[in-house]
Amino acid sequence: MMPLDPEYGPARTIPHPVMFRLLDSEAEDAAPPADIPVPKGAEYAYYPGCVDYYDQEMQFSHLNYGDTDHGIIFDSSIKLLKAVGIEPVILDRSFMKCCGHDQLWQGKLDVFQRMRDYNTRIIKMLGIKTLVTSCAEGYRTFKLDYKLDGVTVKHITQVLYERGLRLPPPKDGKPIRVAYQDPCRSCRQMPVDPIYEEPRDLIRRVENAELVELKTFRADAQCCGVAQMMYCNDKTKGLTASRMAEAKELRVDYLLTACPKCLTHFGCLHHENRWKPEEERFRYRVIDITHFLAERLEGEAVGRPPSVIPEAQDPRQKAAKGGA
Amino acid sequence: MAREPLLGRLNRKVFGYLASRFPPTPYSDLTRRGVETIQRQMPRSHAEKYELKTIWYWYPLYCLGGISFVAFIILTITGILLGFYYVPEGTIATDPLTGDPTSGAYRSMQFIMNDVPFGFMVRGIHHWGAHVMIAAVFLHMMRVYFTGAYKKPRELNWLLGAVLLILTLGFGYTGYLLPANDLSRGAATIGINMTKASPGPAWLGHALTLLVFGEADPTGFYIIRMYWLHVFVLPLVATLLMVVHMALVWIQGVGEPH
Amino acid sequence: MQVEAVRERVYEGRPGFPAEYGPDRQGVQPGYPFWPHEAYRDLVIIFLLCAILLFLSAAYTPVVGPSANPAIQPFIIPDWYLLFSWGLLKVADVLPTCQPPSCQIPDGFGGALNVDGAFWGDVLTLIPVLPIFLLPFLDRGREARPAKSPVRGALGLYGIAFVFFASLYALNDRLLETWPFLTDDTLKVFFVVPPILVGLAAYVGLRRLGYRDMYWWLVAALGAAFALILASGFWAFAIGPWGLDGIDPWTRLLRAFGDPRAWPTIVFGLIPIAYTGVVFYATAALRERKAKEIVLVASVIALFATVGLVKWSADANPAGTYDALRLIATNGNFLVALPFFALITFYVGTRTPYSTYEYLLNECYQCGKCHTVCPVTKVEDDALGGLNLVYNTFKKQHDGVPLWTCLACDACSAVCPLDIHYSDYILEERSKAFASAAEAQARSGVPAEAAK
Repeated sequence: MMPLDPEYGPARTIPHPVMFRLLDSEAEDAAPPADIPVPKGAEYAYYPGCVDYYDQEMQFSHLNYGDTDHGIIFDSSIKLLKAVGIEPVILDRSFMKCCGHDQLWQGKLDVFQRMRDYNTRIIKMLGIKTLVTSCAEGYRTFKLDYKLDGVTVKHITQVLYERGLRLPPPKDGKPIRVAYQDPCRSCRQMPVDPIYEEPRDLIRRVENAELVELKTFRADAQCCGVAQMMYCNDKTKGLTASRMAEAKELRVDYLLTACPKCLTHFGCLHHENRWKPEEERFRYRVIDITHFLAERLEGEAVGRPPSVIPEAQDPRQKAAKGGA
Repeated sequence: MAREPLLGRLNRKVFGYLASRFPPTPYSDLTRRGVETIQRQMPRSHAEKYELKTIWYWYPLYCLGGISFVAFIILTITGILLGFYYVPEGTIATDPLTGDPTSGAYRSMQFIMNDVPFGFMVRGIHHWGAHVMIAAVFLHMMRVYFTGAYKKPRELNWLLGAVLLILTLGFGYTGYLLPANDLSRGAATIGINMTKASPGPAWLGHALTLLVFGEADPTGFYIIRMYWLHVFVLPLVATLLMVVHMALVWIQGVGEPH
Repeated sequence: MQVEAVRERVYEGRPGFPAEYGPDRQGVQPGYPFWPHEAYRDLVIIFLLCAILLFLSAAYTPVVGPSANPAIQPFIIPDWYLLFSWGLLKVADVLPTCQPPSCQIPDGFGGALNVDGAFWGDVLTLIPVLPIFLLPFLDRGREARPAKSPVRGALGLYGIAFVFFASLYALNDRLLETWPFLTDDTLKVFFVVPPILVGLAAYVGLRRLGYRDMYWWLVAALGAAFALILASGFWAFAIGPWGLDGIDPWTRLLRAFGDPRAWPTIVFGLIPIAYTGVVFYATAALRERKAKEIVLVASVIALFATVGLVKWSADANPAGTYDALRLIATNGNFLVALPFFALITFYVGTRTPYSTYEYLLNECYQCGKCHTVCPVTKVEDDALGGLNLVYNTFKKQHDGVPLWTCLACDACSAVCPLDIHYSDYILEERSKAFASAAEAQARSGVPAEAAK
């Protein structure tokens, strides 16, 4: 059990080196499993990627009390794909490996190549035609760094946009202000098929949502803080904080991301912020765009209540008790 | 109180002398400004300015223009020394002692090579200096061509350089016509014939030959004209153009392909 | 204030840089001072030049020679820089002459042009000279770098080769005297074939340096070379002025196989053809690394085979060897030049170009836009006025902070006016760092698990 840092909450002590050592050692095993429990020859396949991992192995959402819920991206994506009539084959971690993006960008070329060869083999074996991913980094990696001939790689927002996702009218007509963070990987860094407009169009389909643009957006959008999980320090948090401050200036109710890494960084800071009552300034929700659309799909009321911090550990309660 | 430094005092004395005798002109200021301008030198190259540690292995070739100029200076100096002894008399006469054909120019060459102390060295330096200069000019032109340093805004400089190339070849040609030996006469014959055949109206070739060589057949009169071209006309024009060429490089900066 | 701190850090201790920045700055060009830096450098070069000249005049003093003699027609060779003109004059005898009064071409001024050898010599000399003057007006492109303008490079080398071979032709008398098996016609073809080959090889090499696709260019160039050498070989053996006349080529060729005196010719003729064929096949059909190995082996074999066979057959079959060498030399423009062209073109076309770092980043002209948008510069402070990533990388200060702090978000690449993809560089450098670390660790013998 990791020692909890009482000052900033437990999420700050996520040991990235441990996670990466685990992922790298996964790459060693190159033999594909004997039996892959998914149908072959499917047209669409959904690759959840890290979110699967973060939620199960690294327990983000449990440690930070649901503030940075990665696993829900998986659920939301499946729900949304079903809503546009796609039954995707799910390429989860029982037989796929990490896409290798972080390893590639950290310089571990050989590890990346092993993961890439393994994943490519599985994808070819399963005869998939379209690979759908909800992660911007995965989108770029599969499209540019893998050589998947004959397989179209799409981001989930593209699929939803093309297949005409329809959202029911909201129960609560209260207008909400929504900001969207363009991920570096799927926008600026893509020489072909950058995804600028599809998420914005999907947001506009939510009737009571007003899309506001952050100070820099589209190709000029500022990075969320750090890609490829290189490090976590005051400087990267400074970048994240400045980006979140921009959202706060615009008085948004939601900050949406299309990349789980962006969600990680924003969510981490968001969660930290809640542990310091005197600093609490980011009073909006930070969720992934798939999560946002899935909520609207079910016609849920706006503004889910925040998660519950156990009373014994909530510093605000402690402060209130101490003060009183 | 310390005394003013020596150079300053000297400066004041010299310019004081001039200032008390000539109309007021700020000589010291002008000198100082001139020195400062030179001291400021040419703009830094790209690599120097940004302290680039990349070694572009063609950078030494950028000294070729300077080498041609230095070679030209050396040629001028040795040429002046040779000019003290050379006689531009090309009429063929017979040597009374040996019966061989000779001329004033040829005799003066023999004098330089055999009797003038270190004359052969001075002539040798002049000869090799000429080859070095022409080679340096060619290589310099090739360097400028391959690095694209003739493009905007340096077109005028390139044209000046091309004219200087022709002048340099002219220097070489007029030069080796002067010693009045076999090679000189053969080359003069070829030159006269080719000038006579200049494309254009029939009178043009003849007129050009008379202008450049002074005669239409190589009897020996051409030597005095080649001499004057080599010693006065070409040096004057070439020096002026070289100064303008180098000034343009100073003003525009060296054209580097980075 | 921040600006003052930055100013000091950036500009202190850098001679030649103006300390003012902003509106106070004077219009002064920074540069190295003349004294002592420039003066030292120039003096060294001048002294070196003087030393060379003194050595040359002492060791190779020019002789004056015999005096001009109107009675005899001496055999002279003009100085090397005018030889090209003389060579063109000599080769002009293949061009038609038209001299009055038998042939009248009006010269526009009432008279008739006298088109003789000298006239053609003048006109041909203008051919290399005129483009020199027109060059800046013919080439108005902005690209100065040699590797990015292969056409200019190729044309330049073509011109140089042309002038060189023209000068060579000026000495045709001497050459024919020394090597009697050459013919004047072979020397005339020197004007045409070798310069084109030089230009083509240069074009291929420069394209490669510029990171451009080479495969089809190599196949085309080497394929043409192979086709030409086949045709030339066939012409030389079967149709050319060798052997008996009046016999049809195929019979002659077949008869040659039966004649022991013809064997050296066949063997020495087949070697260049086979070699060119091997190089062409290797380029077209094999992967690059394999092709390089094959060509290296083939070159070594061809070299030793030729030398060895020449030596052996000179003893065993001297008459046949002489015939063979004579035939090869006469058709040297193809049979000798094309294998060399094939080898050189293959080599320059498959060389590894400059690394990303030296070449692609060199496009940077330090506009500073990457620095402005980089999010890391907003939170990191570094020496010398901030983390100017592309610039500092260009200055080889890339290990440490810039490389590993980079978020690889490509905001810099998005704004770069030269479209430099900085993230590609980051990828390459990081994987290189890991690879060298892994190599060092492997060499040190410490097992991988223990090192982790």
